[in-house]
Amino acid sequence: MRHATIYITLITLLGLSSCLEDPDCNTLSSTTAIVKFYKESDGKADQIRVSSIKAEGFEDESIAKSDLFSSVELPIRTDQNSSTFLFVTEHGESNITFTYDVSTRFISDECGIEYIIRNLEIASTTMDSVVVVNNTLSNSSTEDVKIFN
Amino acid sequence: MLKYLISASLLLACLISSAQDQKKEENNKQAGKQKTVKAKTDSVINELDSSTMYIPTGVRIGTDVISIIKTFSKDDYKQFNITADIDFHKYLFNIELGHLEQSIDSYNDSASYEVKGSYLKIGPDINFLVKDPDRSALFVGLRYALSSFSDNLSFIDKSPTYGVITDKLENNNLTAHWIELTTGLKVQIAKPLWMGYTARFKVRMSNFEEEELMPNTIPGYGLAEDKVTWGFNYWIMFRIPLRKAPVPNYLKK
Repeated sequence: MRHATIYITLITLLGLSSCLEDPDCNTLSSTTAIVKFYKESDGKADQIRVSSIKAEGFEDESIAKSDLFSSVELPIRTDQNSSTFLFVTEHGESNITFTYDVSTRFISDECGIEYIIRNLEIASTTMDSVVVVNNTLSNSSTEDVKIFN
Repeated sequence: MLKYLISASLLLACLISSAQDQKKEENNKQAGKQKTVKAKTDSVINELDSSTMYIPTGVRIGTDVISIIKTFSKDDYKQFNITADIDFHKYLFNIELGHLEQSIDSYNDSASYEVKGSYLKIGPDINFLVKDPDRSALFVGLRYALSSFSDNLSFIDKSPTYGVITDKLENNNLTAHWIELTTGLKVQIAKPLWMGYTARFKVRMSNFEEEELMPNTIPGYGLAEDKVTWGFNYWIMFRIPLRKAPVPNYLKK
């Protein structure tokens, strides 16, 4: 039984070392929706001249500067379940309101928090055609929303 | 990788320690002329044993030393574990109770997470050292575990578009379920004093991905994001004998 006691002690030390958690700050979640523009006529990728894109209620901060864009990244509000974006483009003024669920998670002391945006939907829009192609936002995604002009 | 090494060495150590015991018993081997007498005594005792062997011989009650050490050495960490097992021949029935209170702050002080909850684990072990005269246990087993807990998260976050966001989210009385595979050893150190360990492989059944606040820690389970986790307990236990059972001095041939 003396041997067993020695083994128990050794195994305890091994066990304690396995309790040390390895931090991993590479989160997969994202809080930006990637929007790509398409031509309504033939469905092909399009570049449009954007004057400004702003988040409703935060008009001082422009999300996209005046330029030609084939895609833009829209920052989703994490403190509420909807975000509205105001577009001024070559096709005129328009807006999109997204609704979604936000889950907040504390990752670790080193990595802080992350948000997971799920069930992304279009609540209302003045644009002709907008489609959500990816309703859970992630880092690996290359396209979340399609806008046809 | 480290985790696999550890589990492999755990297994190895279990095998080695049981092999050592067998060797010891072999060394005690008596002369061949006593064999027939022993065999007769054994058969009588075995007969006695079979009628009473499922009546428990004792209860072991213990506490986990690792959680006590962590309580004293870590800031904002309180954990307490108690265990009890009762024997039914080669089966041990276990009840474990625990409580965890923990708070974690992010290094940049932008987020603070608190969790508080209790857990219960019940299930059987199979003891492979049932014939050991010291009543040691080398076991594998299964646990059903559930935890009832509450947690909250306060944080400040800066967004280039939306400015500073301050929020506090909380969950009240969430319940988590999981299954554990266990293995370990329990040995007698002094007359009533026992020591032992339990290594656990835990598989989560509950899912909290739909919650507004996704829990970081499930008391008794570990990190909530992991579908499987590992656990380890080092027990100090006392055994309360319930009856005197005949323990034959089994000899190896």
